[in-house]
Amino acid sequence: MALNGLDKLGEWNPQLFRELRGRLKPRNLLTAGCISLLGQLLLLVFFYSYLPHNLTNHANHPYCTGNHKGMVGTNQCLRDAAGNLILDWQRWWLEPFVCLSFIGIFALLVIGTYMLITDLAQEERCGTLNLIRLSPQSTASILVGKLLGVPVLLYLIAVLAVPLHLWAGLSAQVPLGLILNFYTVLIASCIFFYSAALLYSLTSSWLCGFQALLGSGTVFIFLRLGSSFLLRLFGGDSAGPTSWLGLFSPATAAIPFLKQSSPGFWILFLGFDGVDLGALQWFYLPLGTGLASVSFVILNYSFWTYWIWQALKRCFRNPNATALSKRQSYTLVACFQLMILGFACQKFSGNADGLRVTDWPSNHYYELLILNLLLFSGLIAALSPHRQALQDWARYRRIRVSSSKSFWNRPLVKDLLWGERSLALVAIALNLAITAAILVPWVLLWPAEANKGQALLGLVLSMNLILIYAAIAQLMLLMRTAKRVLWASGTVGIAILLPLFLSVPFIASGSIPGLWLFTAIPYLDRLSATKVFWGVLGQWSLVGLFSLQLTRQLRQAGASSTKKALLASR
Amino acid sequence: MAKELAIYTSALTKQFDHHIAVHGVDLQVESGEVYGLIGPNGAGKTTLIRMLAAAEVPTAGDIYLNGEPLRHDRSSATLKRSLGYLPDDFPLYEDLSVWDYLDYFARLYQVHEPRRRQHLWEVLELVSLGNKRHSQIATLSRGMKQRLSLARTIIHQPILLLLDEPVSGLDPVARGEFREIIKTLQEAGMTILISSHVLSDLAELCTSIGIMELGYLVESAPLPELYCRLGHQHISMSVLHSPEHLEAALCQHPLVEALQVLPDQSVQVQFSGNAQDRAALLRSLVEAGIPLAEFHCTQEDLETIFLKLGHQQAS
Repeated sequence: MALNGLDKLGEWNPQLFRELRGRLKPRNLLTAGCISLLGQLLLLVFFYSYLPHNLTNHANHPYCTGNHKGMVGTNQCLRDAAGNLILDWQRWWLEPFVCLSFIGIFALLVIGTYMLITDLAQEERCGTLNLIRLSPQSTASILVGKLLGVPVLLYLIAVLAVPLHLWAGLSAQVPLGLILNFYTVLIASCIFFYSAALLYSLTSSWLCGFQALLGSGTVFIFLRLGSSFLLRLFGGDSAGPTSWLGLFSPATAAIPFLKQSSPGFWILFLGFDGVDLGALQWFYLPLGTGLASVSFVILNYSFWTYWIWQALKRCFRNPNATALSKRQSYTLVACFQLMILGFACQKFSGNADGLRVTDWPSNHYYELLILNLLLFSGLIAALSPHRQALQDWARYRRIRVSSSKSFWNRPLVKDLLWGERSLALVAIALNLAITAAILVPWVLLWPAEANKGQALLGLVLSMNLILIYAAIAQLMLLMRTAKRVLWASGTVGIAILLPLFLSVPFIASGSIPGLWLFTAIPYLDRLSATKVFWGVLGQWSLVGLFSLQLTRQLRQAGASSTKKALLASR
Repeated sequence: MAKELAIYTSALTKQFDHHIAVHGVDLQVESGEVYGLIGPNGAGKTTLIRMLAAAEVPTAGDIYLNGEPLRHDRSSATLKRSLGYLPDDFPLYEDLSVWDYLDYFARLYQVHEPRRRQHLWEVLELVSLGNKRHSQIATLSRGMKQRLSLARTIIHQPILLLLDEPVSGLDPVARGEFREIIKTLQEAGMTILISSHVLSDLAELCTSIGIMELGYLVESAPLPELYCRLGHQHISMSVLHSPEHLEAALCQHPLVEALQVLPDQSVQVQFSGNAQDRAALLRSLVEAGIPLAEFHCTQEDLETIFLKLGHQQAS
């Protein structure tokens, strides 16, 4: 019966069939079942041990039902007529429920991504991925098979924990709707993170054995620290563009449970935070806490998952292709800017006297610059072709001759704007222009008291630097070394982070304010207009220099081998 | 009417950095042919086959398979189903059983039940792995793994087979088995492009040969034509008495390129004609009354032709 079902599944998706065939073996099934059930038992025993068992030891306890007494969160313990302690079981059940929720999030996302990255990397190493690539199956069919099949034992462990999780939630009087919301968000986050893991695995084979650890480690750090750290660092308690990052953490959907929960030990232990959706607005529209907010989270996941799949489709069939086409990047950047700008538009509701300086939209300006730096770092990686593609382009682009005299129809212009193998620099510049077209009107709409001029200058400086990073990356990717990706990411990483790390200590003293001119998040308060002007001029000169160098190298690469041999023989 | 071309490439080029692996190759393989691709290591055979299998994107040039243009990432499912590609490293899933492995690829190539089961049996019988169907791939010998890989390549009954060094590392017995399988596939009407360093095998199997050197396809012709055009024939003859008459008669023959009288009085002739010319020579000698005791012809083999031609052309 089960075999028949598997067989039918195999007709629908052969890849899923292969993954299930390889994994659903009696020994594996037994191990997964034992891990899940034993884990649940241990969890219950652990929380059971926290219950007060007699009045001698526990006069006050968080799970007692009497009046609040003693330490914060503890109540006086009372007995019923039979002499048994009256316990707040609703509150007790909340603890294993929330704990299971978080274990679920971490296990599914961290271990799941690790399994997927390892599996795909191994297939790539063994050469079997090439055979699958050449089959008539669609990319989506193969990768969906991987996505559903590779972590199947993990799914089994999670599914076996659902009854207890549901039981605990309902016993804790958590509305069924909230629990279902949580499951929906968790599933959406799994699809998003797993798709990202597949893309990462396909594009980072140069990391070799380090690949899986780095990938799942990043997910862990993002879930554990990332969202809350960024929120606290840049957003304080108020909502802003960086709150958007928090939408990627499924803990967001667990926030209502956190609010209901006692200040249990595990929150302190996990140090976990998420975005309070109730306080968030998007273009001044409150997201709320109900179905609308969950729908927004799901929409956000779906939107970015869609883009990841666009990249997956390109990279899976042709591992040497850039992750995104230039055409796709323009749409992506426009959507991204609108998305984060929406979070910069938060309506202040606290002080009736009016807008305080700290509530100005300009308060979110630096958050936007940081997010844009993150976006463009990714975009540089996704759009910059490597040495081979550039050489092919430089050598063979002359074959395509156009009779058109119009500037936009010239093959070179078309290639630079839309081409697959051409330099990414012009496309990055166009993407920066799209960003400016969206952000500049926003800055101009700031209150009159805000320093708009400084913000606009900051934007120019930041964009110039991003263009310089793109040029550096492209130059590094043209190098004649196997480790060119490592060189490119290392150099750009240093170029981004070093001035930032050097600048921060000097903020207070203001001794070297000029350092900010070298960061993509320029803090221009202590810089004179002349210095900024020279800074901009310097950046433009650098862009020009790098462009010249790139052109020179491409000319060299584009020259035929015969010509080179002739020149050498002279 | 000319046969339809199974493979047609035009100015196919692949360049890796400053190294041109395949240089403007114009290849034409007719349907039903067994085309052997030979050349030294680094000649570009594997890269050419990989491009034909859509595993590598050409730097320039076009590929047509069965008249349909091959596009690396946008080829139709029908075109992909018509192709069978066996790479030189024959990757396998060691954790699967022989049956499950073939079943998986049959499904990938959209071979549906009840045809699939039948195909699996047929293919397993063809590669003599029927009794190993439940064995885990990791436990198979190298020869068996190679045969299994071939079985995987033909499980969906492609019309064009691309085999890259399919017999490398096999012992003579296993190579013989492999040859027999390929002959069966040829008889079934498949077009086969095969690269190998074992030239004697290719000479036995192929209808046409392509010689690659430094990325160039320096020669491409039907095997008989290649032998006729590029391979010398050596005829050794001996007579009952002294060889002077024979020597005189041979010197006047237009197709005799060189001759040598050996110490044992036999004559070694380098001859440039075909089988009919050889027969005519024998007839003329007999009619001239020369008492021939031996007339034995040997043909220069593919290896000699390759060694002569490959380096000559490339240089």
